Amino acid sequence: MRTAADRALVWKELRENRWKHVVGAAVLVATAVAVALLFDFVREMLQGLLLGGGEGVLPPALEQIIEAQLRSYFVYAWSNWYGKNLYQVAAVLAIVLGMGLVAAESGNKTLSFLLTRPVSRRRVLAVKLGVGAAALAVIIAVSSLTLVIASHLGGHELPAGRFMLGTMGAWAGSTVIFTVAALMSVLFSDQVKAGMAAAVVAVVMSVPSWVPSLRWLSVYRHMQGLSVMMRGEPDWVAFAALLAAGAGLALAAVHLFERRDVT
Amino acid sequence: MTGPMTDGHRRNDLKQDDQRQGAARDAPPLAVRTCGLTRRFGELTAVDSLDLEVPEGSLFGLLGPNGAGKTTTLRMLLGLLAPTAGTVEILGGPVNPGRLARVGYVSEERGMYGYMTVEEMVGFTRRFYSTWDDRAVRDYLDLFRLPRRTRVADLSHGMRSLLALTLALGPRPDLLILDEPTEGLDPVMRREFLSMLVKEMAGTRRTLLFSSHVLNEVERIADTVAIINRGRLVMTRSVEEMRTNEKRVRFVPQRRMDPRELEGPGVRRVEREGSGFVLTVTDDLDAVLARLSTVPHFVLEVMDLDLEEVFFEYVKEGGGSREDRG
Repeated sequence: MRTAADRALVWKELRENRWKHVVGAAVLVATAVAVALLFDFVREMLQGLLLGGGEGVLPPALEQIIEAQLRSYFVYAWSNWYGKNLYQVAAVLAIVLGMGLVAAESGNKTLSFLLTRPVSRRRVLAVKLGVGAAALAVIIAVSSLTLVIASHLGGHELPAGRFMLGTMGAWAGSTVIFTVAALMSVLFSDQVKAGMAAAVVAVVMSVPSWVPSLRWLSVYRHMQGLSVMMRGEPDWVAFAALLAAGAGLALAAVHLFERRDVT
Repeated sequence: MTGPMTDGHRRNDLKQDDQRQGAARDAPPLAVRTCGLTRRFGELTAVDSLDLEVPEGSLFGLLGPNGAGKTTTLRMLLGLLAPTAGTVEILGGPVNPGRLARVGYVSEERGMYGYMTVEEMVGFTRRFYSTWDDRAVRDYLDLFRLPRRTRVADLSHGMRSLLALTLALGPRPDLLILDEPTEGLDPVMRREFLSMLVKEMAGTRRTLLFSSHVLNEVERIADTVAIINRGRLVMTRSVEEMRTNEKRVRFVPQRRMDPRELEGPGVRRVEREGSGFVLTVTDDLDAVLARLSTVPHFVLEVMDLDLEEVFFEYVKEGGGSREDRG
């Protein structure tokens, strides 16, 4: 019965979160299409900025970034996708998916029904976490692939393999944020509170990005996949560290869930 | 016992051990057993040192006023709440997924997935059980006239109760735990619900443990009743024994008497009524009557107590710690 029960749990999770998945995917796909279609417009705007008196006014680092984006569509696409839109939307989506995992069941009074089925709490939460992480992977992969295809249709070629390699860091980082939200969902019975607490943690997690000596600690920086963009290969250590952090948070969530009272 | 232990003492002790073990062998196996079960929420003690034994095959009603600790007790039995102290056993051991496969449960809030249709809810639940009885579930759905394609969220509270019961009965559980099962049902539905329940449980070794504060329904289906008040078990006995022993006796003596003279074994309360007394008897009715009949009297009349009166007897004093076992 274990496999049948697992399938039932997976079906329930997909059914329960289908609108979150659809809306998250739609927002990212639309963003990907916009990034591809707006290149010419952005290029003109940036050129105007540099040539129309912006030179010398902008900080040199920003000028370098703009010039690089003007020279290469690959750099432009990477900067606007992995470097900006994807990790921001994925972080929000991860919080939205994670905050309701347990807290929504608690709020809807379905937790006692679920936990009196013949299946362990560990298994229930493992399925919830697995489905959430898989949904993030699919949404990130599909939307990134959309950008590759939209670029092709718009007359700009992206090295698909290398570009898609960037999804690894984005997925691993968003999974860390997702497991933070899942942990909060176990701790709080109200999913809004769980979401707010996860958002606070997510903001705190951005602090190392602003301190040069601590940037290696920033989840968001690793989600941008700069190593793939510049060297063509992922930062395996960072990837493994993100996976380990996600696994650690997931284990903590399971540990707390197994001891949680259902009142 | 003091002094050295002799062979005689040892033989007596061994004999007593044998007798105890024999009694344990003769006693029916227990579907539920709690020892010193306690649950505190901060300062509040919701369940206090509860020793409960529910024999297999019994129809066991857990009675108590609102806030008595019934739901907390049931939730601890199912592993939803961890006890602060004490132990819980269901179907011969601690709660685990293997034992939960043999338990059906209807919670007080009838929590089910509102976005699923009745059909989907049944389909989802059946996948957890190897013992699921499709035919019986179809029969219950027809009997209760539950619309299969309607979302659970759109069902009335009464219909949700009936669906919850159907799902609880689907796996043919050895132990059925119902928390306030008829709450929110109209009289017709309540009758159907109880009739079906009695029919389902009759002549089987399956155990029904249900909490309620609707006394006439408990009286109708339970064979054993426990009263819990302020988290403490104040009485457990069979309905039959309650009918035999729980009585009120009106007694008008021919001489002036102090109420304390009438107190004694089996007498729970003595109240003055006009020139006589009303005694509430909970045990040994024959012995009490025999004792009273030795006093010259004008009236000695025995009146039955229904469950409602028994219930009020046990809860009106604000709990009490005495436990009567039948």
